Amino acid sequence: MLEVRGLNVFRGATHVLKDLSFDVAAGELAALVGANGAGKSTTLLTLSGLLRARSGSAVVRTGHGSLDLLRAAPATIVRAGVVQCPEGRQIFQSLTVAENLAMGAFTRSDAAEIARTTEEVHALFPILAERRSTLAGALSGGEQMMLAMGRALLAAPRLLLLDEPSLGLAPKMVETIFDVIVGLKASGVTILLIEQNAAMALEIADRAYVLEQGRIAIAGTGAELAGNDEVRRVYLGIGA
Amino acid sequence: MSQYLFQQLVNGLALGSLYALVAIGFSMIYGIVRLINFAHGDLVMIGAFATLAMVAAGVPWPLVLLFVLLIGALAGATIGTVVFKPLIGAPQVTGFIATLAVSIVIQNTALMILSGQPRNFLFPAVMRQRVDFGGVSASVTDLTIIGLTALMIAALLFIVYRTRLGTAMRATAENVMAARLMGIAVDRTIVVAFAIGSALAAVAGLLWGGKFGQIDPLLGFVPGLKAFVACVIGGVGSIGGALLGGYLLGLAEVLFVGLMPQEVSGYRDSFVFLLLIVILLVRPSGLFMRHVEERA
Repeated sequence: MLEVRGLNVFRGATHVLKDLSFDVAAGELAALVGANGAGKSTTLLTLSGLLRARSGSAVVRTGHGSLDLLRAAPATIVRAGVVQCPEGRQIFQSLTVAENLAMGAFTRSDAAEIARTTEEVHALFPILAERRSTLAGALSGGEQMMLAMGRALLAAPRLLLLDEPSLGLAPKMVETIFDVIVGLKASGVTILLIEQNAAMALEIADRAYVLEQGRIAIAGTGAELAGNDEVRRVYLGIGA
Repeated sequence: MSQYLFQQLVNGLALGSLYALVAIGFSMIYGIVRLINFAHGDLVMIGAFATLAMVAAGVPWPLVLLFVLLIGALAGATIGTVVFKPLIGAPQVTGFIATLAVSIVIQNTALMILSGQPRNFLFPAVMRQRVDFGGVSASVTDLTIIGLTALMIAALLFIVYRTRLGTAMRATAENVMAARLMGIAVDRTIVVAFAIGSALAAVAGLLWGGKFGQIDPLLGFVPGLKAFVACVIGGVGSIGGALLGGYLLGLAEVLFVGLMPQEVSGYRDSFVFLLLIVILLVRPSGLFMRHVEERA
């Protein structure tokens, strides 16, 4: 589904991603874990076309053809089904819940299809239907996260990029969000998940990468990484 | 109500309408590019001279109005595309200087082509008649300004709050990064905001000429500056604030002229800027904004 090869990204003079290569297969949930500043968010912003890469390729293959994300505009990337739910939620606070969801579907034009996805999102997060006319800024943190997920789903993603969905949420809400992520994967959406909460991410991931200073340091299945001594010591805080 | 008071009220509303029309565009552009556009007032001048030229060529008035809207939108879109799109991401002061440059270029080009000589600007005779409301009367020109402005504002509010394009504009104004992640073409949104704001300013130019009867290439300076004051009164970046600020400023200015003795009332512009200073001291984020969030 996604093939990243030799990705080099600079932010200012800083070389953030260094020859980064990794894969995400169709239908799987891949997790990218690592310390703050390792380049996780930079990776996702580059895949969404918001940051320009110096070199490399990031090819997405779907049933409709292939697209190199490094050479496409953000709108083209969204249309190809690569949709990001950004770090810190970034919902539009001055817009209503319904307007936020409508903006998620900005690149789609079939009103009937959009209405169907909206209903699916409402079924997934009933609170969004209840509060559709509320300004998004008035929602609680958990509700804002659901709105951010719902908004991303309205773009009809084939590959969903999730940046720190558990950030700043109460444990119970984190569980709810992770349940939804697992459910999305079951419904056929491919997911690339970034998490500080490495333990939870590795638990649900089919495949996982540890990112260290812009490079993949360790790769394996979620279970393999969860059992890896170094990962346990550095990222999970278990053992010595 | 006495005729005098009624006349002042109508006068204030008409003047406030003109300020509001210019201020809304100012505010829309600020909301999206975070830039005080000093060239905005010059669109008023362009609208006024476009009207003059079309009337001289015998174009019927309803078509003139339509064309002025189009010319304003085209001029605004051009300024947005040529000057501001390349400056996305540039330091704010660069954009600020660019707006000054655009203003100077427009004014001096107009001076070269049109000369600084003021031109008479006449609405058709029917506009100079007065309508009687049982004892009190108002000029058709003022009533037209008030009515047409209300219509324009209603159309604008519809676009901004009830259409997908308007929602995308508000989304972009609030969070550019998130808007791009939704696939909203931010640069196109900026151009649309410039086009809509400038179209309103150009119509204000048509009405401005009709109300004051004379136009010259530098006439955009005063409405531009006063629209800025109106925005500050209402809270910069808010469309509702610009609207209220515009009307409030128009009424306050007319009230000042009407109620103050003759020797003082000539200082109406000084009064306006004194008002600006007082508001900046007392309510720096505007009369109608509760607080302003700092943006990163």
